[in-house]
Amino acid sequence: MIGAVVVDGVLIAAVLSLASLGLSLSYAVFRFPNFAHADLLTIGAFAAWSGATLAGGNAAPVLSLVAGATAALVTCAGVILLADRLVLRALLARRQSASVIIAAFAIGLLLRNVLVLIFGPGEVALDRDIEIARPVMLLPGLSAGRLTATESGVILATALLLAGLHIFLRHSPTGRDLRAVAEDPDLAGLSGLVVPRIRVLAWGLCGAFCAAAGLAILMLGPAQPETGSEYMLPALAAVVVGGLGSIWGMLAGALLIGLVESVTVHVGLAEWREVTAFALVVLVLFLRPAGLFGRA
Amino acid sequence: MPDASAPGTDNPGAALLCVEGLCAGYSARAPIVHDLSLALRAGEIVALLGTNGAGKSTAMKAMACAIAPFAGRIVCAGTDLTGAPSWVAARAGMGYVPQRDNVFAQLTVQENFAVGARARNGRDGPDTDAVLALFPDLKPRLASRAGVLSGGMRQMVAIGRALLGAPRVLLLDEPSAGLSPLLVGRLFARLTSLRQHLPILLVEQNVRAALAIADRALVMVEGRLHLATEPDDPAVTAVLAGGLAV
Repeated sequence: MIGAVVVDGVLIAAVLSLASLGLSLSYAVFRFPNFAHADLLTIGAFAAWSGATLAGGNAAPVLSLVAGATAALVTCAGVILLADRLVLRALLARRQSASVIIAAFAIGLLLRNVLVLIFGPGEVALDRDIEIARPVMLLPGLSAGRLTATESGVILATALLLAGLHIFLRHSPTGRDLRAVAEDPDLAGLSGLVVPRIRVLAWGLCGAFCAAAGLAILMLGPAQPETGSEYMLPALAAVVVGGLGSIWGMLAGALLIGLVESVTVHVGLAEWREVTAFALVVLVLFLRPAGLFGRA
Repeated sequence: MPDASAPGTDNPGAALLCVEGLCAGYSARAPIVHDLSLALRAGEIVALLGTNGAGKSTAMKAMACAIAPFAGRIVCAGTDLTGAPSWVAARAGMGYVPQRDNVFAQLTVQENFAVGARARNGRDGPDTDAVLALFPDLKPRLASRAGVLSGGMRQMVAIGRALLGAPRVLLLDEPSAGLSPLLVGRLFARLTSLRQHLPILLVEQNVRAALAIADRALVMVEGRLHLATEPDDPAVTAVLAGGLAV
């Protein structure tokens, strides 16, 4: 029982982490909650579906996976960079956070409506064979839970992306410059860093993480124009519980929410899972207002 | 070991920073700095003095391109920086250490230095060893986050970060703020050792310490340059004490 709870919790946390990565990164660099993030996730899923379907779908699984990932990456990065160039950059320069947040909301709604116009209000799903869930033991001594190959792949991909982001941020010169710009863009400019170039890189990374999350969401089930919005609140909760702007804090927040949801489902209170998860969010913020890893 | 004080080979007397008719502030309707002109030549330390609110720090921010001037011209080592972004100024050789928030608190000392070196733009200049020779107290703290260091050490990190960008001129805004008299003495002795090849424009509330190392003194009153004189001129202290009739 405990093994199954942990495995299911880790799967929820993995998808949530993937969905939260771009949100956490954009908050760390630009200091505002990017509410267009939800619809970027949806765009990632729909672009991945388009790419995979055009590449042959289930008839050519590897090619369609590569095509789906590429389509999602190009579309998500292109859309957020265009939104930055046309709208967000000018508002961020004026340092009017309320305007930026409202503009991000508006961009999200615009994107969602464009998706409905192109694909209609219905859902899209990959044409795939039914997968058998196999026993998986996450920790020695813990009873096994069950995961499909796709679910295991999503957990593995999330772990690799988190590790890759950590290595990039902590051990590469460009990652160090990104952290400097995130902490103090004025001082970064005065130190010779070309701040706009680094901010473009940050948006590109956010787009790439949205693409990865959109692809993962599509591989785990169908996507519809509201899919991203369903992830936005839990993703925001993971980011806030962990500590705004902290990547590892976000992971801790996602794990906490994932495990609480999993426990709630396994004790037979599935319909209460969001209630318990958000009650936990409130409790954590009451005890630690800056989040688990945030600095007050 | 490379010498942190020997980055350039400029002719003595050549102006490396020229400011002409600078008008700056945070609102064009109410400029803080009016028609400021000054030159900073190779091999000299110039103290820019004035009472609180005289516009010294605003003038420095404008010279470093941290804020855009409303009028005037700023030229550093032959490059016209008027209206340029701050990173262009830094890469052209404008080293600037603000009074507050002058280190990346979440980055280590070593990372602060590495960020500073991004301004180098192909110029020769001091390396980390040379900066550590200037500020040996930082040697055991290279891996520490700058945010956990004392005020004095942070000031050293900030100056070291600017030096690693191989600047042609160094603008220091209140480097003694918050430091004990002992630390101020040590810091200013090190600044003096930089003078030979790196001209320094120094904004300082600690008038006595600044005049002790300065070659010239400029005094601002209500945003305008009121007096340009020798550091031992009694008129400097008279103006700062409020006796404007000099």
